[in-house]
Amino acid sequence: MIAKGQEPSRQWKKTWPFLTMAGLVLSTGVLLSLAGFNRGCEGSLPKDMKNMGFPLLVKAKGGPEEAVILMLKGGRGLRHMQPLLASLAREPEVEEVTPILRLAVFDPHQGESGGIAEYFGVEIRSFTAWKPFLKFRQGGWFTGEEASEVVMGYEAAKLEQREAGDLLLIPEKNVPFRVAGILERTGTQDDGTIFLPLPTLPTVFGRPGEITATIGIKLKRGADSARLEEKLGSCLTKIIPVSQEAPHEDHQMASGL
Amino acid sequence: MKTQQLFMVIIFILLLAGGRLGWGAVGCDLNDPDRDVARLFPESTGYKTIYTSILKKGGDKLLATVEKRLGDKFHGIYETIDVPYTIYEIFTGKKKVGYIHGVNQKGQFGGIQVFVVLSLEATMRGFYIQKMTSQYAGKLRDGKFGRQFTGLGLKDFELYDVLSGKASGRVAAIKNPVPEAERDFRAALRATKKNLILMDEFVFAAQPVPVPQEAPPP
Repeated sequence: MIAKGQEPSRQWKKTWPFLTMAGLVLSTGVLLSLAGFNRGCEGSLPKDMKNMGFPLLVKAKGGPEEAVILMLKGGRGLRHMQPLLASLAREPEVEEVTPILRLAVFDPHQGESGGIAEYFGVEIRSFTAWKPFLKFRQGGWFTGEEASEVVMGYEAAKLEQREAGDLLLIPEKNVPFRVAGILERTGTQDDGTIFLPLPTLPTVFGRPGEITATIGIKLKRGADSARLEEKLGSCLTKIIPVSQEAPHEDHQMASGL
Repeated sequence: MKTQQLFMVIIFILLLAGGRLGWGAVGCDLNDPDRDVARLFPESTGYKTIYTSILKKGGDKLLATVEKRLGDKFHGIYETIDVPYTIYEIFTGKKKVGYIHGVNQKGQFGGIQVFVVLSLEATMRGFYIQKMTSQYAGKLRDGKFGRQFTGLGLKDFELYDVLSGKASGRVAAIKNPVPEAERDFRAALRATKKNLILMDEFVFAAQPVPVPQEAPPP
């Protein structure tokens, strides 16, 4: 310490430039780190949204969030959209639809309080066409639309220590499935997802034929998306935009009940 | 001044690189460390978390040692040299009283996470399967099964052959509560042996061997 009026010592004179520089370096580092964090967030959010495949999400009007319903009712209680799927496909704006089913079970053997294990039923043909960025680390997609097989995201496979050809059990249902493939890491929610063939999943949950809780929609080039959104919004759904980008050619949207 | 400038540049580079050092595989952590440590070590008042890996501690040479002691190779795409391990050092006040350490293990139908609760003498005072995907997980996660491991240590598990599943000594006395889940039972034993070997290599072997005190003259 230097008292008032006291001449700084030689040692102190040597030290203070070092401390000043260290302070400058540290503050620059923090600034760069924060700037990088902001830039990363801004850059990855639209990418994550885009990789979901749907710039719009459509939920049931007045209903609680889908995840809450799943948790409270153990995968039951969702309204299914078989009739809507068929009518959507006939809409003039729609080029293609992909049905998705999300069901969950409570697994009491995850930690002390248990946890939720969630499964995605997908239609291979349309789903894979919409997500061409999904690459396999091992194996490949299901061998058939009704195969007793799963495809696991990178993180899900790591947690369950699964490799292609292994068996995976759905807790509570106690049904084993063969692991057809393990996906490469994508940095999206797909990493933690376990995919099953769409017709297989509801059968395991004792609800055969109830095929979907979400519908992804691909619009035709130049289609009037506003008209379709209005129409969807009026049939027990609400539309939540998940992308800041304005809808344009080849854009997709999702409808969930 | 030139030395100072060089030093600054090094600090600057390290700072910038720091953000990229965090990437790596996820290891086996307690889901809720505050609650789990208090439950597994009731007398504890705090804990310290240490992250390490075979790669960091000794590389290929250490991996070869671990595999030799285990009596089995590391398998597959998840049991690798760079898997991070989390060691919880447990304290009562300022006094260290033990350790908690977990490993991942491939089970028949899913992943198994096996934690051992160790005294400072490397003796098991607790055994906890945090996660198991199996029809029979309830019985293997039951406290009654876990209590069979209390008091055992690495010396006991050295008599267990992970490949054949044959054991002698105290490990042979561990009863499988579900004969149908033999593969998961053996996976749990392999995980325990691997866990104890890793703790020996990471922690206990690195500590100085206590010198026996001579009896004071009469």
